[in-house]
Amino acid sequence: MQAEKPAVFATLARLAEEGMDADIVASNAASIWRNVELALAPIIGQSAVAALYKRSLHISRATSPFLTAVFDVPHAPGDYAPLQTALSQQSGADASAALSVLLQTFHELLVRLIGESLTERLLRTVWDNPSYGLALRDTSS
Amino acid sequence: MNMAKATINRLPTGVPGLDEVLGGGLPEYSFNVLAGAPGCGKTTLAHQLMFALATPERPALYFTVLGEPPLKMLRYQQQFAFFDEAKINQSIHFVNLADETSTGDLSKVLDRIIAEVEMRSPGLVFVDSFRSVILASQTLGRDFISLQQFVQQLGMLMTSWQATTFLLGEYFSENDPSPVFTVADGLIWLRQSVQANSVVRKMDIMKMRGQPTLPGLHTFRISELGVRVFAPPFPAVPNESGAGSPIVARASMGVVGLDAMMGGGLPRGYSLLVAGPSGSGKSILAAAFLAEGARLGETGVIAAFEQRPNQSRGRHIADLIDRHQIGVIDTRAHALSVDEIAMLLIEEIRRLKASRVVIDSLSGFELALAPTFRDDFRESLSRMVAALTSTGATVLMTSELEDRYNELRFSPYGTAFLTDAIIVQRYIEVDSRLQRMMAVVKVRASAHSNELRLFHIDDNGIQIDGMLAGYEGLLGGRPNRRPTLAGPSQGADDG
Repeated sequence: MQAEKPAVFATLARLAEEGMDADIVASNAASIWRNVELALAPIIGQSAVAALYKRSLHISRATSPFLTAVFDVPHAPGDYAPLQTALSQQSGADASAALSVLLQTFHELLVRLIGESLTERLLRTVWDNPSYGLALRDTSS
Repeated sequence: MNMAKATINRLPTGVPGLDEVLGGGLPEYSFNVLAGAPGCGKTTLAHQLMFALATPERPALYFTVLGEPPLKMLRYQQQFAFFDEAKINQSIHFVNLADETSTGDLSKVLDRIIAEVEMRSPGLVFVDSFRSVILASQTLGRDFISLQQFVQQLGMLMTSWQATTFLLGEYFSENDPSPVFTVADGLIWLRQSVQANSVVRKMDIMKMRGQPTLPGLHTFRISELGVRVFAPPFPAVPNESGAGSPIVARASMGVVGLDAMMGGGLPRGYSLLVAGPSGSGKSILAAAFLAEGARLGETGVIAAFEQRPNQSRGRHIADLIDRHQIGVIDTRAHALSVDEIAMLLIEEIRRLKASRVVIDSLSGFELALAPTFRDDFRESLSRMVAALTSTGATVLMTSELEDRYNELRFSPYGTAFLTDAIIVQRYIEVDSRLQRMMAVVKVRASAHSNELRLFHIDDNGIQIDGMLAGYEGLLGGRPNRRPTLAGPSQGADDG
């Protein structure tokens, strides 16, 4: 069963098409990931979030090879600066596309492990957070 | 002045059979330990308790420590039917303590637990697994607070905060009196008992303060529904309707002539053993007993242990099962215990308000048991029969009996004394034919026939014929024609 994808993915996809400023994508990326970590780490532990993040980077390299640089840096929980840096060095479209793929990969990974409904329950507050959409949209206009 | 004593609320655990074993549920605000080796079902039991008990008014906090990664725990636990993800982050909160535990400083672990408890005011607290807490404090070996202090403080705090608490432990040793055991109000030990190739899960309530727990090892099973404990069956009420009190009503057997042989039918609430060799017609008699009940508007329950139950039950019984006039107990599970079957039977009796119960046969039942339960078969059976008849139901059990012509036996288990009535079937050889013979051996507190009656089986079931007049030595299997004139005996046992 494939439920509707969280709104944040649609926003990112649209922004990728519209050509968004890479710096803004990058800073939003860091805040999205910090929120993901905030929602999940108390439940599954920081190291598990870190491991899933690394795995998502690894998979997403196939479509966004520049993520390799992020993957190769040892990841400390809570530190999304390497990702932010790498995204800000891309074009807006590439950065949006990469972030979208990375988040979707992470989401799908979690769905495979703990199921759709539980994933949705744990991450709902993160994906539904309107601030990303607004932050991203505000700057695009 | 008449002051009221403290009232201990007992929480229904939501785990089938556990409340009975605990002696009436789980005392509120108690501090409990769930102990046992890896894989024995601690986490599953804890989750099942939590999902059953957690409500918005009584939220649960589940602390995960270093043991099983929470991601995997969530992955596997959600396979159980009781796992209701709607409760997560609502009435159930998972908290990972890996960071605090990895410092080895128990006071940090305690502080974090206290902070979370103060924030959420949980009614239920779980720490999974406590073993990891102990290990972390030992391996890092620094002198923070001792384990004993940690446990005492935790126990005191949780009770003060009105939280019912569970510590899950992996390798607690029974021989090593851990300080945890002293502080705990309840100690539930889960085991996996191995005998030959069979593994049986057992639960032992080693301690439960202020509660009349059921002593002993209680079988439990884990299915997709979660844990289910099989408490030993107890007679529901003093057996009023059964043996010992005047017989008020009788159940007809569904075989013409048999009621008369039994003094008017089988007294209600009695247990009857039908013993006989293979193929003698025991199952057919049992089926007739159930069919007669259905004809009279009664419901019945059958636990069949033959290899091909559908064939031997026959069409009529199959129809009655389809129409829910007869309930069937699933006896296909591996490594059964008598308590398990007893519990299933009693549930089904209550559900259908059944008045007739058939167990066909005790021999098959014994084979289906896990080896570890075979030694206690008689004791367990005796308890089960008492519990079944205490429901008011009339019970018919069949028993395979190897024909031994030099002795009169009723059951290979010495179970004959357990039942209120006995019918025995045998083969005899008469005029180069194998004939069947039936006799009512015992009907407690009732007159009954002492005749040895021939019977045959046709399309309509068992037909009781006359006595084999003029013969003697029938029980020897090879009767002789009684000499018509007084003379030298030909000897009944010269063969």
